[in-house]
Parts: sequence; structure tokens; C-alpha cells
Amino acid sequence: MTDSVALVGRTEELGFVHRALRGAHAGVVVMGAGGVGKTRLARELTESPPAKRPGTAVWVSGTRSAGGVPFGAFAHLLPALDAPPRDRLAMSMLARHAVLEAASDSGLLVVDDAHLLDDASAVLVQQLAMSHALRLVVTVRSGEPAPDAVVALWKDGWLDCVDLQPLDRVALGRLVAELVNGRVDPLAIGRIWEQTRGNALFCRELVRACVAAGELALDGDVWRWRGGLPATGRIWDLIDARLSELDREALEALEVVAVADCADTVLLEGLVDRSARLRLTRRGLVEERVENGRPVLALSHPLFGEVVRSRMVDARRIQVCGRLADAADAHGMAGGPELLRVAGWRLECGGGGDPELLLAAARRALAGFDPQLAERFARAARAAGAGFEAELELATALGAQGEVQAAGELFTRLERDAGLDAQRAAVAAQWSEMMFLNGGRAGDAANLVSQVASELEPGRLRDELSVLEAVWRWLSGDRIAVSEAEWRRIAERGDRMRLLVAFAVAPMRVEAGRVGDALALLDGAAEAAADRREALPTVELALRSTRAYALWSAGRLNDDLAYCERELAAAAAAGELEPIAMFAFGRGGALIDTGRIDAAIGSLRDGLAVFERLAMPMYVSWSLAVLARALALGGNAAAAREALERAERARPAQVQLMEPELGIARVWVLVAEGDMDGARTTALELADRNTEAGRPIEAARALHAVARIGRPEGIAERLSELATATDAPILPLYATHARGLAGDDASSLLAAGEGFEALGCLLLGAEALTAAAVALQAGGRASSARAAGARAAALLARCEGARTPALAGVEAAASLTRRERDVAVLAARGIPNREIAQRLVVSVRTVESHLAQTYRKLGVSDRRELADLMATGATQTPDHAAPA
Amino acid sequence: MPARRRPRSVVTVDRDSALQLLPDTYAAALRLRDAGLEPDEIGRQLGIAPEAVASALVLAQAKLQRLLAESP
Repeated sequence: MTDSVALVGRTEELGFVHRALRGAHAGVVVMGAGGVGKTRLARELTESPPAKRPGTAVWVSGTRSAGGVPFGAFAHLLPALDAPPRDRLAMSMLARHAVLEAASDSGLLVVDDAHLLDDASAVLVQQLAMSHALRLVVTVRSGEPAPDAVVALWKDGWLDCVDLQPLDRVALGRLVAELVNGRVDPLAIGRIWEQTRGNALFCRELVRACVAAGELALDGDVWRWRGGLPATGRIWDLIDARLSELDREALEALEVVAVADCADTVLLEGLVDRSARLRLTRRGLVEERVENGRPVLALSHPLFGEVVRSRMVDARRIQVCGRLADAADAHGMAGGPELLRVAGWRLECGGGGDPELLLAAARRALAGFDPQLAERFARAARAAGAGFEAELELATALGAQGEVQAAGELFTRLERDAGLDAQRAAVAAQWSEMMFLNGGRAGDAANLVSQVASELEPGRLRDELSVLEAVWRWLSGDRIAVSEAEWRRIAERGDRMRLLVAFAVAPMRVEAGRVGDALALLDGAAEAAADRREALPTVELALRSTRAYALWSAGRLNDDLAYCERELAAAAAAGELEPIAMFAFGRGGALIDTGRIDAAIGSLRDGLAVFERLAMPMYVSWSLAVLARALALGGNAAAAREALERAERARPAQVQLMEPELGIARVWVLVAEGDMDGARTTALELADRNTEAGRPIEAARALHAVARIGRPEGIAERLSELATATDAPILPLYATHARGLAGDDASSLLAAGEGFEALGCLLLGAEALTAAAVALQAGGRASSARAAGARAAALLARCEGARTPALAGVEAAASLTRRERDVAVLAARGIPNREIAQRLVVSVRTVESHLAQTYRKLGVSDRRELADLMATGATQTPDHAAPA
Repeated sequence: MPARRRPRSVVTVDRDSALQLLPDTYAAALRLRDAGLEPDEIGRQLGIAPEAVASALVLAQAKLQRLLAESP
């Protein structure tokens, strides 16, 4: 834990205050809730004062203890007089003089916690503001009564005014990372954001308490939150202090709001006393806001809810839950969007409850990818008599938490007990899904559904199972022959079947190189899938992740990355683990080929951690394989080899889907280890295997790798042939790239580079353009070569930490020493050598020698060309621009 | 006839997700302004002084711009 932390996330506020201090007003009032960071912001101003004036700002603070003493806040500035003036005016003049004297250098007075000032000090501050004798920064806690003279500072417009709000989410993430001094799992950031809503003080204390309790702990090189909130720490004292100010009535109202946890305002009308609610709102403890289009009454601070709920005795909590559940029934709200909440209250108050309600809640929770909650509801539903159905949801919930054995035992019993065809089909479907997802047993899953299907009459149930069988067989590497006509026949059985067919067929189409067909299927199913999310949650998620797989396979990385980012944000906001993992994984894959290796590694590790927690072997192995490739491309051969070995070990014997990725990971790990011949042989074998298995895109990736590592002969022809078998836009580019590499053909390389860049494949773009620059140079076209080189360098600058053999040239060329870079930057701005020498405190001759080296390395001959080159780099590298 | 879903432009989606990263008050301030509310009314609804509404909108907008620029 770091104790002192730099000011984070206040760039805009600092800018605003700086402008205010230069503007027409005499300064600025910074208002805000307790703990939001007013004083920290003011301190920053005094440490890096806006006006470049020497000296430190004068600092006075309002305090409760000095609040009753006239001029108490200014006491430390006043001279020690034997007989201080008794007359208030004389005293005021003396104090004013003392302040101006103390601030004669800096011209800045900070008044912290001005709401606590005594009246005399407040009037003095107001007079100072009116006189424009110096600039003021005044902090005030919002919602607290303040002396009239302080209020007048902003009401009468003497000072500018800003209400300081909590940190935004990105800034909060930065703060947490800085506090623990390391990388933090985005899931943990999401939870801290939920709990603190960006309040820096709460965040700091929460992180401190969680680290101390071991809840926030290092996992490898990433800090992850185990999930609990520690029961001790200064944070609870802070909150207790706020709550202890409440009267009994307000506290009771707060308890109801805390248990209701963002429930619809209508529900609380009769349960929360109106005047108590007003008092809570005024104190900033409770707020009304709109969530998903309905007004809700919520705690301003989720952490308060934890404290309030933990301090409630059981009897009281049960009573409140019962009243809330009754109110929901009375308003007919039990089945709608409040289902989970209402069922939760019923569960809590031990009312046994309606088995249908609990069962529906279990299904809703499963659809929300919260298997733990689903397990609770399913158990309660079973206890309430929901029987078979409840047990089926329970088995599914257990499986989804990775408790494969317990779930398997339950499924076995259910299979025996199933009397109706629908029950047998449902057991087979959900059991087989768990076998594959959580056990990696795709072959067994296929055999199971096939067995049950054969015992059913022809019809919808049997068709559903045969679709599943096709999927499990395909995943296990068996090439099943289901005719187009058969798929069409099944899909015509209605929306549900159409979804299942899309779920089965879309990934097969991607694998076969028919990405356009796959995307069309997914488009056709998307709306129906969203509507049926509750009935078919896994299918709905699979359809979404298949879209990412399709875009990635096609090489449409810009689209893929945007899609994964959006889905990841939505999943993170909803706290849905499995989708989080799926899209963190997808995002990682996309980031690699955009060249952002470090970000890719982070994202892949985030996904991997969840896949491991949920015991999903295929995805564990698959993400480890992608991670190995990312590490290899980042030049970390040892870590890449280790990840690859873990991927091999985790690999489920009955699943084939991740095999191409494992293969290509082996290739790049060998490259990172410097074994180019081994890499080439491995890649060629992989290409043959993929071609044979009907995976043209994967075959092309393997062949393209051969060309990229410097063995392009004969590759282009094979790539061109593969390109005819697929509609993926990246394939013709692979072929063009390989053709250019084989023949040192600059125009092919330029075309490939442009194509890669347009799709978002910046790493490949940089490689192709680098090769183009070399080819042009060799052909005697120096200025075209420079232009291509500059564009390659610009692309490479947007890649983070990628090292591939093809980039070795451009890296060397771009590797200016720090001093050479300093000189180059200044020279590119047209600053003469003499002035550069003065600025860098070196001799003119040193500058000249640095420039000569720089020109040579960058292949430019004068300042103008240098400026052109640097300008391209600068405009093309927003990621690397200096922070504002 | 079933109601057609209105396609949302990519820009809107990005802005929406960036809004979710803002502190609640800033996000609400921008939404209320977009809905055409006067500054005094925005201040009243959000519980901030009317004199601080202008700066809140400036800061909210600046932060939103930054979040949009930072997202890839």
C-alpha cells in the first residue's frame, strides 16, 4: 500500500481552477461532499501554483474548535501582541494586513473548510475577495450550513464556483492501481467503483482495509479481489460516524432503503416515513434517481448499505424483508423486473414462499450468469416443493460454478427420475452442456444426447437434441454430415429452433471460411436471442461470442475490438462473470493483432482467471494458447513457453476447437526462442492439418506465419488458393503480403500494408510497410522508401511492445538514443542548433553530431524531412501523446 | 405490426458507455441538459448550487471528451 498518492483524475478540475484564478473573479469556491478530495485539490494548487510566482500560498482552515473564536482561523498569522486590539474593526485590519503580508509572494490564500469559519473570519475572507487584493481558493462542504459571508462568496458572484464530484471510473481505476502500486483486475475495479461510486476517501480506505484483510491480494502480477468485504478498518469508523448522527426514525428509514437496495420508489411509499426520507436526502445519505427508466430510492453510497445491513439484528432484517415482499405483492410487482429482489426478500424472511416464484428467480439468476444466486433460489424452490424442475436448475447452477461432481450426481438422479419426454430431453440438454463447458467432455456430451434422442419420438424435442449432438460432435472434431436441407427443416420449426440452428451452424461456417454466412445467421438470430435470453442463456451468449470469433477470423479487428469492448463493458456493469471472461478473452485476441501486446496480455489473463474459477477447460486451454502467442510476440520467450505448456496440460482430450490456436502458439513460441527452422516446419505441418480438417482461415494463418518469419517462397500461391475458398477479407491480404515478401515487390507490400491497416491489423501493417521500405530502398527509390518507413514507424508506434522478426529493421532505424530524440524533436520544430545547444546545455558541435546520427538512422537529409517524418509520427500516435 | 427497433448509431453507443463511466451527477447533468432543462432546474434536480451548474457542465463535458478519446 502506498501512503501518499499523487492527485489522480483531477486534470479537468485543476484546469478549471487555474482558469478561474486567472479570470475576472478573485478566485474559486470548491464545494463538495466529505471525502471527495477538496482539500487534496487545494493542496495541489499550492504545491504547483497557477501563477508562476515564488513563495507558498497562505493556508487557513475552519475548524469546529476554532469556530467560536473571532478570527480563530487566522490566529496563526497574527503577531503575538501583548494587548490585541479589542475593537473588531482594528482587529480585522490587523488580520487583513497579516494575511496580505504573508501572501505577498504567492498572492494566493487557501481557506479550507470555510463552512466552519467563525463569522469574523468569514467576513474577512469576503472582504479579501471583494478587494481583489489576492486570489482565493475556498473549500466548502456541500449541504452544511455556512456563515452568510461565506455563502455570499458564490451567491453574490465574488468567486467562481465548482462542485467537486467523485472520480470517474477510469480515474478510480488509476487511483486503485496507484494505491496498490500494481495492475488491478478490472473486475476488482468494477466492484470498488460500485462500492465507492468514485469517492476517493472511501476508495482509499476500502482498498487499505481489503489489502490488510487479504481480500485484495496479488495473483501473479495482478491484484484480484477475492470477493469479501473486510469487517474492520477505518472505513467502517468513517461510516459509523456519519450514521451515528441520525435520529431513530431516520435510521429505521435508512434500514428499509438499505434492504430494499435500489427498489422501485413506489414500493417504498408506504414503508419509509416522508419526513425521515427528506432528512436522509438532505444529509446526502439517500437519493432518488432513475435506473433503467424507473425511479428508484437508493443509498448515495452502496458501502453505507453494507454497514447498515450488517448492523441490523436478524429479527429486524426479517421484518423489513417481509414488509417489502408484501408490498411487492400488493403492487403486483413480483414477476417483473423486480423478480430477483422480491424472491430474495421472501427467501430472507423465511416465508417459505411460492415455488413458482423461486423457480422463476433461479432461472432469472442463471440467465444473469449468477449461478451462486441461482443455487440459493433453486434450493429454496426445492424446499418449497418445486421438485424435479428445481433440481434441474440446481444441477445446472452447480455445474456453472464448476462443481462438476455434485452436479453430475444430481443429473444422474434426475435422468433416472425423468418420466416425461420433455424432462428427459431437458436433463440431457443441460447435462451435456455442463459436460462440455465445465468438463471439456464434448464426445461424452454428444453420446448422451444422441442416446436420449434415439429414444424419443420424432419431433421438436428430438430435433433440439440432434442440434446439440451436432454441436458437441463438431467441437470434438468429428465432422458430422448434417445437410443444408436438414438444418433448414429444423430452423423452420420456429424462433427457438432457428436460434439453436444459428448457435450450431454459425461457428461451423466461420471455421469453414464462410464468415459472411455466419454473420448473416447471427444477424438473423440476434433479436430473437435477446428476447429468449432467459430460456436459452448459454445459447444467447454463444451467439454473441461467435460474432466476436467471426469478426476476428475475418481479420476485421477494428470491428471485433469495438464489439468485444462494448460487450465487456455491458457484462462488467451487470457483474456477469462468464460473459466478462468471454469478451475479455475476445478482446485480448483482437488486441494482439492490433499490436497492443501488453494490453492483450492483461485482458487474456483477466479472462483466464474467470475461466479457471468457473472450471471451463476448453476456454482455459484456449486462452492460455492465445496468451502464449501474445507473450511470444512481446519477446518474452520463457513466459510464453510456460503458458504454452500450461495450455497443453489444460487441454481437454475431447475438444478440438482450440487446436489451431495451440498450433499457432507453438509456432510463435519457437520464433521467440529463435528456432526459425523449427517454427517453419511446425507452421507448415499445422497448415496441412488445418487444410485437411477444412479450416482454410486457420491454414492461411499458419502459412502466413511462415512468410512472416522469413520463408515466403511458395507461400503466396497456397494462400491465393485458400483465399478462393473463403470470404474473409484478410486472406487476400495474406496472399498479397506473402507475394510481396517472396519477390521483394514493393507495390504488393504497400497494398498489403494499407489493407492490414484499414482492418485494424496494425502489427501486420507495420511489418508489410517495413518490408516495402526495404524493397523500395533496394530499388533505388529513396524518398518512397522513406515515406513507407515513416508510415511503418507510425504504425509501430501505435503497437505496444510487439517484437516480430519482420520488425527488426524498423526498430533499429527508429531506435534513437534519448539525447538524439531530444535534439530531433527540437530540430524538427525549426529551432537553430545554437538554441538547441543552449536549451540542452551541450555544445553546438554535440548537437550537430547528434543530428547527423539521427539523419542517418532515420534516412532523412535535412530538417524539413525530419519535421515531416516526426509530424507523421506525432499525428499517428495519439496513444503516446503527452498527457494534457 | 411488431414495433421496429431503432438502430442506434455507433457514436451514440460509445457516448452512452462513456457516460456510464462518469460520476453519477455529471452523467445526469449532461442527460438533463440534452433533455433541454434550464441550468437552475438541473441544479435543483441534482442538488447542486445553481451557481455551480455551469462549471459542472463544463467539467462533465471535458471528462466525457477525455473518456471518449481514451477508449480505443
